[in-house]
Amino acid sequence: MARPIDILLVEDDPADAELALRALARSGMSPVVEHAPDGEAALSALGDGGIQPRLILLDLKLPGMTGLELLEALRAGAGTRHLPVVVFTSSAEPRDLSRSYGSGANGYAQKPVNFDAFGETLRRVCEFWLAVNRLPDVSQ
Amino acid sequence: MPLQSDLVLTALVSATGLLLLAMLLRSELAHRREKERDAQHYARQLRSLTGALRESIVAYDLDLKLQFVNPAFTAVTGYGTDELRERNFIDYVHPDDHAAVTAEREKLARGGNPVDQEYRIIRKDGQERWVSSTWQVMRNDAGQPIGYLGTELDITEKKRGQGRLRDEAELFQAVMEVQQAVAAAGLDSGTVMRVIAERGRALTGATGAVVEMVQGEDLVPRVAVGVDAPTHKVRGSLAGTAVRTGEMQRTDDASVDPRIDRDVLNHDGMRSIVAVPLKADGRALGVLKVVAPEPSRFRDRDARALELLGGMMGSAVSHAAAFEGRQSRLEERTRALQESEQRFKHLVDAAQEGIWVVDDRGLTTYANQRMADLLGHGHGELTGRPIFDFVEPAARAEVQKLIGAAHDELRAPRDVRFRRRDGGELWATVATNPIVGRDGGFVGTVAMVSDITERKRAEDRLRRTADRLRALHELDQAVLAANSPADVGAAALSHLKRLVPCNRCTVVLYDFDAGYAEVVAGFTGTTAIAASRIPLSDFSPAATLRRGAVRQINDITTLADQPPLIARIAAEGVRALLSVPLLVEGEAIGELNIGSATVAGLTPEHREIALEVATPLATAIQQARLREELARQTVDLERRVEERTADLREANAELEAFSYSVSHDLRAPIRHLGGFAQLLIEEHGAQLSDAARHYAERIKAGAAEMAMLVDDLLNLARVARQDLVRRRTDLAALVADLRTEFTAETDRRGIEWQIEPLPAVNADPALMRVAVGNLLANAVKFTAPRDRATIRIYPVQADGQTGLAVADNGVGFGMAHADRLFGVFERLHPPDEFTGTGVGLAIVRRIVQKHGGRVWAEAEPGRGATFYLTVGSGASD
Repeated sequence: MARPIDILLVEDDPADAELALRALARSGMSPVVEHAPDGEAALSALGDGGIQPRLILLDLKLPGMTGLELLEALRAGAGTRHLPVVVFTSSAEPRDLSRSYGSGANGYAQKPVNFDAFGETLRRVCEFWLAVNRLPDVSQ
Repeated sequence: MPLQSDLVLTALVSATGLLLLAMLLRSELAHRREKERDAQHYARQLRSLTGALRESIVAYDLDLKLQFVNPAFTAVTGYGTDELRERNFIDYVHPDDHAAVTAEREKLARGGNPVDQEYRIIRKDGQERWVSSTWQVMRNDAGQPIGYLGTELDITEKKRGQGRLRDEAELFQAVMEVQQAVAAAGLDSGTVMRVIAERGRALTGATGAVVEMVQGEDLVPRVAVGVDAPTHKVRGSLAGTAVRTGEMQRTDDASVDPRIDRDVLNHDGMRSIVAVPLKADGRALGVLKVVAPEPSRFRDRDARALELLGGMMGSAVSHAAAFEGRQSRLEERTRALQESEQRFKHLVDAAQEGIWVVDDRGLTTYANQRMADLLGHGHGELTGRPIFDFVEPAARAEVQKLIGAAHDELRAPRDVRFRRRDGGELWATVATNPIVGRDGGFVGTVAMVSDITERKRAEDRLRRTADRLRALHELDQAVLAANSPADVGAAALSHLKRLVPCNRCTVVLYDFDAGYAEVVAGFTGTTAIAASRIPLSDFSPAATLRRGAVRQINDITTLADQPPLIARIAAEGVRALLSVPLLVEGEAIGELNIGSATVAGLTPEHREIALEVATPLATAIQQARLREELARQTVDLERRVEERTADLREANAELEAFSYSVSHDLRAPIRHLGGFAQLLIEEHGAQLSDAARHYAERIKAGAAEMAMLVDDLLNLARVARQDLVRRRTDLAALVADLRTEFTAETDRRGIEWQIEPLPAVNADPALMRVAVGNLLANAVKFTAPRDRATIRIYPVQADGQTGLAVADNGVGFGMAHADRLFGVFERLHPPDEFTGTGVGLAIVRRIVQKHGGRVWAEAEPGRGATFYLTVGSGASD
């Protein structure tokens, strides 16, 4: 029932979202990406009959529900607790890192300021998680 | 023999000991200026006190080095302090008495109690003097011995006087006996002669005594005691000469005396002879003679005694001889007695001392003129009255011991207080001898009375001075120990009332600004006066108060214009009032008020005491005020520091949060700028004009630069917030590791690294890595223009701290700007010459500060720079 996609990008900043999409497009991977601007939108997209992403890229700083709250909600939900979540944030705070892992993140990547580095980081994260966490095709 | 009351000596010695202590230990007290001023004050007091003393004062330290002698000592011995300083302990004491004085000192050193001693001293001029002395151990406030103090009183005159007194008393007793003998025997001349001969022999210590009467050409012995006495010629003998000339004759060696016949001499072998004529109506009837076989046996006083006895006997014997049987025995006896008494009176009335004879019941049988004068009575008024009538009641028991029949030791001379006829006091030293009757029984006492009133008064003054000094010292101690002005005032008053009769005492402090005076301590009778405020206008005009004059009023009720306060005090019964200002640096801060219920009840001495008290009191109050002020300010300061610290902490936290969020939140827009500029260039560059592409490049470069700034700011903020975890950090390993980060640059530019052995430090390894890494990066960066860059790293020790130095031969900088070196965004070189944000050294400094260490630089433009970094002590292992 669920619609499988490659990546759910939870990102409130449209510029960052656009840069991320652009960077992924330029990486040669051409993944199927959906964008949720906040936690509520992400949860509703992941709801019954919603999408089934192979990787969730999660910004911590979100309007309303924070990234960590969304992460905890995902880990609490029966349909979402198995989804790989990589926190993708501007923060280099050790506290944010440890909280993210503490809340059940599978990975943590800091957004580089430099666009090339930004794209490279994003590419490696996605390549890795899409490769190691390729789910069986439910349609088969 | 106690020369004066022990009390005085004790008070004196303890007071002078205390003062000497203060003087000798002045250096110990030097750390407190106030104390030193006290010591100087005491030293001055000591000098003036001991300067007026009759007693010699001599002080030695524990090494028996002379420390001090007073003027009296110099007057008695002729030696000054400096002359004795080089000499041995008690060198001035008679050699025969050294052992006794040394034994006394050693006993004191072992903790024994002092005992009065009498010993001889040798003056500088060789003359010998007797002194009575007490030695004491001087102690400091902690009770530790610091030396020895000797108090010596010259008693040479007294010693001589004692000898004279003894002689006089013996003579007097002999005279009494003769009189009694005459009275008892009547004109039985044989009995009288025998008594006289016996007394004469005993008095003079002669071997023999003889009474010889003239019979024609011969001298016929009538009574001989102790020797055989042959009849001999008037001519050719000393006795004969006495008869012929009517004068006393005396020889110290008969064997060489031309007056003496060889035959007589050969017969009895007596070489010392005194012969007095027995005269009646100017004619010598015979001689009284004392003899001794050894030469120079008799002294002047022996001769005098014999003359007196001879005179008495002459009249008695002559009358007996001339008028025996023809006149009334009674009449003659009376006349004889009167005559002999008259002679004696001439002797005793001329005496400097009072002579007082009492019978065994204490009734006066005789008192000389001097004695009557001393008591302010007329001559003869004392006769027949008990001696006790003239003695102060408290001294009666003492006098009873002196005139009783008891043992001799009770008769040691005593100081007795008599009452004069005018109600005044007479202090006298009384020495007595018992009078023994013929039967050997006690019949009375002869007392020698020396006026010592002046001395006693001087001693009293001395004792009061000593008491005062001690009390003042105690007061000083007490006020110094007190904390608040009120405590100081209370302590001062509690001591003051022992010295001055105050019915109402207060310590008042002025507050000129507020216009009132505060009673900080006081009492009326035994009741404490509660602290209160009184308008200054109740006292005197402020200007008068401020000047601080002493005000003394003998009777405040007679004041024409009583200020309200005075009226109130008068109502409480105060009559005499003394106000002494409490002066601090010339200005009165308050006053000490002493009120006496007696009109004119405050003497000049009280005024003097009040003035003496006022000085330490004022100082102590001022100190207490300063202490209180200090305490208040300290509390205030602590509160303000706490507030500031809290403010600062908050501001710091805010700043950190701000710098964190700024650097954090700035990253996104920078990324957008840089990212979209790059996308523009890379994906749409072909459609752009050269100028547009150039602008896009500038945007991208600006974003990159800004990204670096933000990263550094973030690092700085992180360093500030990061907890310090110290552990052993090997700088050598750290530098070696960091060095590899510059391998590419080193190889490309051929940088020469000179790395000396480096210590390990106790520091946070991660932060040290950042700090040292920054220094190395700077060195690499600023040596870039050099063909042969050299970077030297070597250990540094400074101010007990350990660290390293990084020296390069790069472009350096002017030391004028060195203070800006470690500020945030501070750059000493334009960015187009050297890349960097200007935050790196700020981070280094922040890290070093967190370690309690220090970072500084030395440089010269074009000659390179050296950065020093220390971070506390070296690691222990």
